[in-house]
Amino acid sequence: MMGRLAVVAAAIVLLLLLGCDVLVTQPVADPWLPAELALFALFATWCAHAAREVRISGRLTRGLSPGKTVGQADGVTYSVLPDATFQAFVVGLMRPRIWLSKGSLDVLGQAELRAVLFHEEHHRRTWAPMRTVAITAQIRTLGRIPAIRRLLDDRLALIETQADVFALRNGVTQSALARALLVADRRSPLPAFSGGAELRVRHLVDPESFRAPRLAHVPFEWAFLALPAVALIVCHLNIR
Amino acid sequence: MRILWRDGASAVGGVLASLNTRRDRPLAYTTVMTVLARLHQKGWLSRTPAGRHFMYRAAVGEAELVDRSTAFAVEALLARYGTGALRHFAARLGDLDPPLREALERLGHRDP
Repeated sequence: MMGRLAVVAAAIVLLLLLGCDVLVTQPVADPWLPAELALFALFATWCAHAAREVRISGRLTRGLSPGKTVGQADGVTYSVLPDATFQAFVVGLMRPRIWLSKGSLDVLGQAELRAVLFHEEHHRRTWAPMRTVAITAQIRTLGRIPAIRRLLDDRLALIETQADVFALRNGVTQSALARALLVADRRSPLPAFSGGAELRVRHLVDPESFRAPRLAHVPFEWAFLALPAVALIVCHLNIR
Repeated sequence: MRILWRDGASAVGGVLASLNTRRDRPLAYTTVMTVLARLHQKGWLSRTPAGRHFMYRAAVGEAELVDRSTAFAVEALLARYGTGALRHFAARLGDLDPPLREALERLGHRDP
């Protein structure tokens, strides 16, 4: 409840800050004013949701204190969690870090471990946690619109598939990646969002005939950063 | 726990005396007794009857205790903050169409 109030309050404050310039400088008869205010409102809401995700990421990163135990395999560095369950993830916005649990190291063979590490390494190199924060904030802002929700889910799914492609290009076999996925599915307490699984597995099973969903390659994660720029350009085009 | 690792086995009184040598405000006997009982319930300590008292021993080593308590903290942290803030390798395969799931399993059984 307090979290939601904080999001609403932050959205209102941001709207006032960003929108006041429009209200003060624009002629009263500006026909685009409602659209400009709507864009600012969307951006403010997105900012509020993104700020919440950033805060969560910060708490998670601080809680997973960088380990006494650090491993390296095939040039990929990872930190070890003293956890018996299967955990393999990347977390951290500015300095993403790969984490693997003892439980995952115990059950993964050498080939499967390479598959997991290269998959996570791609996430680390491409700032996937930050992109996920941006997309998650968009889902919270506009996710009630089914078409937009599908686009964003497809985008998240493609991020996972691209990480698998990176692993395959670095010598990981399809079968090793498949085995790693199956092991993780059986033993992981925290699977990723469900929409990514089908796309990922379709690609893995038949990469030759795989086709990504339309528009999935569009970097929607940065779309909301363009909103204030668009709104300001429209504002200034109307200044007499 | 450190007292028991050091001494091997001790009754409540012995642990109480060791703890209170370093405290300005001494702990009560019942407080230490309760804590030892709870640690026994959690499996950190074992105990054997010795007359009217129990003798407590550490059931885990220091390294294992650190690992176990850290693991609990990590699980709680991940459960609380969920998947939004991280990219997890695992995918929820339970929602796959059966033919696709079977294709994945066949792929997994392929060598190498």
